[in-house]
Amino acid sequence: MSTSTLNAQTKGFCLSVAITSVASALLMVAKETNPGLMGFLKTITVHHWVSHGIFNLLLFLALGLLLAKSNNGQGPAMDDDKLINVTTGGFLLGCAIIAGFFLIGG
Amino acid sequence: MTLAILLLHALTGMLFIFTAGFVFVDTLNASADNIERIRLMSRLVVVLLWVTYFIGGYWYVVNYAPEKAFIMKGPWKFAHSLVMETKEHVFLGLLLLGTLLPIIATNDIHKSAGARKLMLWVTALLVLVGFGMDGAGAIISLGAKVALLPVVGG
Repeated sequence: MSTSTLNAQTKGFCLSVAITSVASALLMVAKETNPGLMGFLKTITVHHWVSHGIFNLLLFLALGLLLAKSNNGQGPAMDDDKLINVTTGGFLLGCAIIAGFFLIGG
Repeated sequence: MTLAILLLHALTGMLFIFTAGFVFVDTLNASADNIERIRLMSRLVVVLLWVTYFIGGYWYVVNYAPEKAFIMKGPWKFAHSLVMETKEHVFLGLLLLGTLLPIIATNDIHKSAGARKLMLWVTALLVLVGFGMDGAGAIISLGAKVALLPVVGG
């Protein structure tokens, strides 16, 4: 049973940040190790980094809106502490994947 | 002009960190008296963060290539291969984390311990990672500088 005091939008977008942060880091690994994907991202906009940013923004918005409407409009069934852990943990995991990749591969 | 763009990027970045720190402290003392200020400043954090992103992004896409070439020929290659690469990708996540602030601020921060705790964690991360970004920018600039310095005694 969720004991959250947060509104649905907050829960949805917090979870979206966690998921998008990790997805963004994985996309970075994929594009840096796959020239085909890197080339594709370069053709969409003026720079692969711009395409990457647009992908992140669209994923963040889509997931946030969908998750906020989940659970009969109450947002993800998660208590406040768990949501905070997932949000900060997801963001930090994304940072660690990025820094780790360039630390080892760079 | 390109240096002015870069300095503006650093300036708005520092203002973003300062404003996020302001929200952190205000949230520690959240009450009915300052809740509207927290909401207003949260929006300002997002504006400054996105302005920093667009200015820095423009400079990175349009002007960074020659500097990158110098860095990669110099002794501090890691300034690009590790620091810049990490900075440019972590920034994308930081942007979304910062965008959370006004959404969190729609809760009654002064009444909900959970909302207050979430706001404190997010603003603390924004300040800490923001300082990391600032330091990374300094390392990248130094990477270009040491690449352009004449070799002493050479």
